[in-house]
Amino acid sequence: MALLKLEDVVVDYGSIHALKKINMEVDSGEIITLIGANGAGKSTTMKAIMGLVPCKSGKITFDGTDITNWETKKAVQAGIILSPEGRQVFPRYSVKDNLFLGAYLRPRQEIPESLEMVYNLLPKLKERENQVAGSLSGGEQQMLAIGRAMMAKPKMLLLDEPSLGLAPLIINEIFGMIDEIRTLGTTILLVEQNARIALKHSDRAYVLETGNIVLSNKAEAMLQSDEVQKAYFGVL
Amino acid sequence: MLVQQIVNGFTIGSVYALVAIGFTMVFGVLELTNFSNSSLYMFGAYITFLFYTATGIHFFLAFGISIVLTGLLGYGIDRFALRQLRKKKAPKLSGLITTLGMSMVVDNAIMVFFGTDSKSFENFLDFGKIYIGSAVVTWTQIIILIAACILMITLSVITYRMKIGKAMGAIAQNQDAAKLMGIDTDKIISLTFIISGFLACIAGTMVAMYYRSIDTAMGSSIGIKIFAAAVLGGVGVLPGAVVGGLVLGIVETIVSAYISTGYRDAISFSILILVLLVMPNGLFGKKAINKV
Ligand SMILES: Nc1ncnc2c1ncn2[C@@H]1O[C@H](COP(=O)(O)OP(=O)(O)OP(=O)(O)O)[C@@H](O)[C@H]1O
Ligand SMILES: [Mg+2]
Repeated sequence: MALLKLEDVVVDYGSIHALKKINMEVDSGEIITLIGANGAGKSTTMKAIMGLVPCKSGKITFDGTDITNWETKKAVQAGIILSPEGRQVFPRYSVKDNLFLGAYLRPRQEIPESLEMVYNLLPKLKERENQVAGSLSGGEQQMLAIGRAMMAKPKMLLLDEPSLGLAPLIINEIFGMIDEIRTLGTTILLVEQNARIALKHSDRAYVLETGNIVLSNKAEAMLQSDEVQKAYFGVL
Repeated sequence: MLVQQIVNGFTIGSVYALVAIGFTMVFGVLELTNFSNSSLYMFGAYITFLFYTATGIHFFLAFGISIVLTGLLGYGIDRFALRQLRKKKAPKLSGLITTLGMSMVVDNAIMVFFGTDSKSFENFLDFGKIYIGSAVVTWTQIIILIAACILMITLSVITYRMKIGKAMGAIAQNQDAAKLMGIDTDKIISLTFIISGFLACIAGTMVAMYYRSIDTAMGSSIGIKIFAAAVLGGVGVLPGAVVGGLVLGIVETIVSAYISTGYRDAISFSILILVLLVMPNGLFGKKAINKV
C-alpha cells in the first residue's frame, strides 16, 4: 500500500489553477522526484500535503488516513515533514536552536538522541552549533534545513529544491545525504529543477506541467527518455 | 527633591514598561502595531472598578476577575478579527486599522456604560510611607515596583528561557516555517494577546490606585506613551520596553517638576526623536529585522 497518495487533488489560488486534479503515489522506502518547470505547481503540491494551502477538491491519504486539509501541526504529528523551498531557517536563532525547533513536538527525552543522529549525518552543523543561522553560507543553511527536518524524526520527508543555488560539489554532498536518510528508513519526496542528478538518486519520478502530471515512470527510464532530456536537462 | 522625583518617575515608568512589554511582544510576534493595547489598560481599570463597586466582593477578587476578562478581550480581538485577516493574508495595514477600530469600540463602550466623568478609586495598597533621606516613598510605590519587577522577570523567563518563547520568536522570524515545525501559530499568537491583556489590566488597575481615580481619557493618554517607550527601547525587544518605559517615566516626572507640566510631553518626545536620530533602532533594537 502506498504511504502517501494524492487523488485528483485540485488547488486554486483565486483564479489561478495551480494543481488540476493530480494523482501521485509514494511507497514506503522510496525516493520519488517531482520535476517540472518554474511555476508548474511543485511547491504547491508540497504545501497542499502539509496543509499550508487548502485543497479545493481531491483527497490526500497518508498511511491509510485521510489527511486532506489537515492543519499543518497535525500533518507534522503524523510524521510528514517539509524542508521548504529557499531553506527558511530561522535567521536570528543559532544552529542549535533551529534544530531544537525541528523537534518541537517531540518528547524532551528523545531529543538528545536525534541531535546526535543529525550531527552524525551533518558533522558540519556541530562545528557551527552556536552560530546564528542567518550568517551560514547557502550550503550550510540547506544542511541545517534538512537537519532541522530530520530532528522531527519524519516517516516521510518532503524536500523542496534542496540543491537550489548550490555549487556542484555541495549538490553531490546533499544527494549523498539524501541516500543516507533513506537508509535510516525515511521515505522521501523530492522536488528538483536539477533533474539529472535527482533522477540518478530516485526510484521513480513524476513530471508536472502547469498543474498536470504529464509523465510518470521509473527514474532510469526517464533518464533515457529523449522527451525528458530535451525538456529538463537543457541538453540536445 | 531630585531623589523624590526619580522615585516617582520610576513608579510611573515601571507601569509604562509593563504595558509596553505587552505591546512589544505582540509587535515582536506579528510586526503589528496594536493600538488596542491602551484600551485594554483602561478596560482593566474600569472592570476592576465595576466588579468591586457593583458586587461588593473583595477588591483583590475583583482585580483577579478583571485580569481574566481583560486577557479574554485581548484574545477576542485577535481571535475574531486579526486571525481572520491573517487567514486571508491581508496586508499589515488592515490589521493596524482593525486594532485602531477595536480600540475605539472598547473606549466608546466604556464611555457609554460608565459616563465620561472621572471616578474615584480606592487605594488598597496604601500602607503608609517610609522616608529615605529627604524623599518620601509610599508603600503603594514600593508594591507597584515590586509587582512590575516580578512580572518583568516572569516574562523574560517565558520569552528567553521557555520553549513557548522560542516558538514566539520563530513565528516572528517566519510564520510558515514555524508552522512546519508543528508550532500551533494561532495558539501562540493568542497567548501573546492574552498576556498583553493581563499586563495592561494589572498596570491600569495599579495606576488607578496610585492616582486614586479613573477617567475615560486614561487610555488615550497612555497609548502614545507605550508607543514611545517601546520605540525608544527598540520595538519588539523586551528589555527595550522596560528601559524605554523607565526612561520615559523619569524624564516626564523630572520635566514636570523642574520645568513645567505643559512642556512634559513636548520634551519627552524631543528626547525620543533625538535618540532615534542617533540610534534609529532604539536603545536595544536589532540592527535590521530581516524577514527571510
Ligand atoms: N500565494 C500564491 N498566490 C497566487 N498564486 C500563486 C501563489 N503561490 C503560487 N502561485 C502560482 O501557482 C503556480 C504554481 O506555483 P508553485 O510555487 O507551486 O510552482 P513551482 O513549480 O514550485 O515553481 P518553482 O520551480 O519556480 O519553485 C504558479 O503559477 C504561481 O504563480
Ligand atoms: Mg517551487
